[in-house]
Amino acid sequence: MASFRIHEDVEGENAVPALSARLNQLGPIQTRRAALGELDVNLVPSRQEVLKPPVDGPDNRLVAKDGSAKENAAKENAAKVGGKKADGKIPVAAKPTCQPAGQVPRGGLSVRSDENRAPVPVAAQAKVDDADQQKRSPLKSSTAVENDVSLSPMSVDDSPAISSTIPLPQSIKQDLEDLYSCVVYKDRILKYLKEREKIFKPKPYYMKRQPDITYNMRTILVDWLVEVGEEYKLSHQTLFLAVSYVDRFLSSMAVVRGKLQLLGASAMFIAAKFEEIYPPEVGEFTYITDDSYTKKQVLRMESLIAKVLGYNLSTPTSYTFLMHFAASTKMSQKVMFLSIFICELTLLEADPYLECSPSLIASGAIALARHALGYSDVWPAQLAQLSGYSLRQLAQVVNHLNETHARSITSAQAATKEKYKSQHFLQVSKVPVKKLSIRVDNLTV
Amino acid sequence: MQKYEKLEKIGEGTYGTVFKAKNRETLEIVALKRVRLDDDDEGVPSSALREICLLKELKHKNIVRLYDVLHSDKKLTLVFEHCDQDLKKYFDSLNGEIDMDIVKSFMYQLLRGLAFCHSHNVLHRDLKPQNLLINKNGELKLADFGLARAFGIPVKCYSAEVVTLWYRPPDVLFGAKLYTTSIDMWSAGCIFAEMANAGRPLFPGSDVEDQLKRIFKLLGTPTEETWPKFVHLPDYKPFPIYHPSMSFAQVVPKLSSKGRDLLQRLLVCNPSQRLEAEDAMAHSYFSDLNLKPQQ
Repeated sequence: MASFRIHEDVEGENAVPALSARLNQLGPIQTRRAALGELDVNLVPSRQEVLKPPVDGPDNRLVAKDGSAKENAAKENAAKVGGKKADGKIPVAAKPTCQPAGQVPRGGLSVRSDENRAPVPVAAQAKVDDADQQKRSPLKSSTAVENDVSLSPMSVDDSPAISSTIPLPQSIKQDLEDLYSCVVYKDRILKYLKEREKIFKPKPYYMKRQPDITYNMRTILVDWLVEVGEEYKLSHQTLFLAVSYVDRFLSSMAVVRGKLQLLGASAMFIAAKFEEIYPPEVGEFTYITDDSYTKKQVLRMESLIAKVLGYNLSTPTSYTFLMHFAASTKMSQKVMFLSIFICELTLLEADPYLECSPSLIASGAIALARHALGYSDVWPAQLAQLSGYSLRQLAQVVNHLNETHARSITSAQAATKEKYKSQHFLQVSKVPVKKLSIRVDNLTV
Repeated sequence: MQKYEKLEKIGEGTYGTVFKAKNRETLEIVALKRVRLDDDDEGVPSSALREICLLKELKHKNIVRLYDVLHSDKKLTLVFEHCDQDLKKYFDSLNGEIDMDIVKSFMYQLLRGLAFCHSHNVLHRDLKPQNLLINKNGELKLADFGLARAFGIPVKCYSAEVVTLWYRPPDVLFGAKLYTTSIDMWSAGCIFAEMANAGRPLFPGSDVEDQLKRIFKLLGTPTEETWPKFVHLPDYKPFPIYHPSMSFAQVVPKLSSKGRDLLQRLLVCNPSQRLEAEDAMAHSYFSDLNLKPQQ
């Protein structure tokens, strides 16, 4: 037998034309792409949304529910199986504020590209506000109701370390270290993961060939995925995997803006199935999109993602490497959380981070976190040896990361920053950004 | 036209039905695992999703090969290499007698497949004779990765509802959610003893409590010295202090003393003291290994 193949089942009797084919047929979309066109895209349904069935719900904006009622809401949602969710529905945090994200020119920190762009059309702006208002209004009552909801049977796993978003108590940490110490395969696993990260890289400049979407839309999508992860208490790895699936998918498939959120939701669904003990049900992924898509669409997209990625879903992310390095060097929690925060910020910025391998980003994040926390030796020999990167090799990425870190303070995409403000994460998103002055040989970074 | 001609039903996997089938072009015999996909359902089952993407990575002579995935709207079909039988059926054909060289060969191949999984950060989590396939050439292959998962370093909590009861280690029986490669090593030990006894299961418990009782009666109830902090495990229940009443020579009479020594190093209640697959392969029991004994 030759190599592994994945293809359409020829046995399928009533085979519907593959979604991939239909997506491909769309070709370039002739929507208005004025200077800021991409920013209000979510407000204006594309004329050629062939794939989108008529939905009477609101527009396609990336919508998430209220963050403050997260825990109970998540549990309640988990408890409802395909039931009516109409009452509890509070899609508040309307994402797309009309601000370009992340796209700061490489050269410097101070330049925001906003001023070069046309102003946001007033009509669109107004529409955003209206929608926000409408959606915010039922918030208070729903929140109150949800707070009374008792634990659902889905949350059977009461272990304190069920989600890696919660720091481990000392006793469990000790057990973990004991267990870890007997993993004799860790060096080989690391080597294996470094081989795999090379094989499953997204194409860094795929966006140039996407006719209908932009980096800004991707940024908004990722910010929303961060919120979804928080909502359902999904692990870091699930989020990192979902974003990598999105990028790898977009590297080979053209997606219209109206379907970008569907791609994100389905990618998160697959990542959760792969990674979580109790992945949220498909209904949750239609719910979080404010029913912009049907279950059937989420499932179709799931199949399509699996096929396009060739079922290569077990792929290393910067989080994989970060945790590996953290465990192997007994990293302090503060450095670890700050590094995770920085790595998570990189998910928002396709440019430049799609060009960087996950292990490089993880290494750079650790060096930057150590710098920000005042360590004089930002890149100890042990880390250099383990990661295979010298500080000199990290110089460029650390520079980018520091800019990213600085931007997080003012960025419109605040989900990540908010997440890491919590005590769970030792409030690492409040760690001040420090000017870089790391000496590498004769080079000052 | 169908690419494969279904021949007969072989059995039920963790999910989906398994058929023996023939590739119409190459005439090659394969095993097809069918998973129905319903629109009201949850899409591709996570067990199928994990089995596919993990097996894709695990190309090894002691791991069943996944050739192909056929994906339609209504169903998902996994095409596997076909093996003649599984270890359970092989036991049934033995009439209580087994060649100790075959035991050694199978055990070595089991460990080799497992070492490959573990060094590619995959835990099998459902090792048992039904999931070990053997073919006419005396090759053994790990199969059914429906409960397998990729593990990270450090490990995090995974489901405690894994591994068929008889092959489940005491830490997981006590509800441990933090586990690593040691989970499979316990199962490997149980299977080793079962092979040496020509198919008589070592710990055929009826429920979790009975399972633990059987284990502690053979190995002795763990103590704070032999297994620190085990009383803190989520589902811990105190057990009477059993002292081993039987020696391993009585438990596996046919097995050589070196084989018994290996078995004792695998069947350790404290997971951090359990031998890893690779270390087990280097055990002196295998110094006179013959991978192709006469069957």
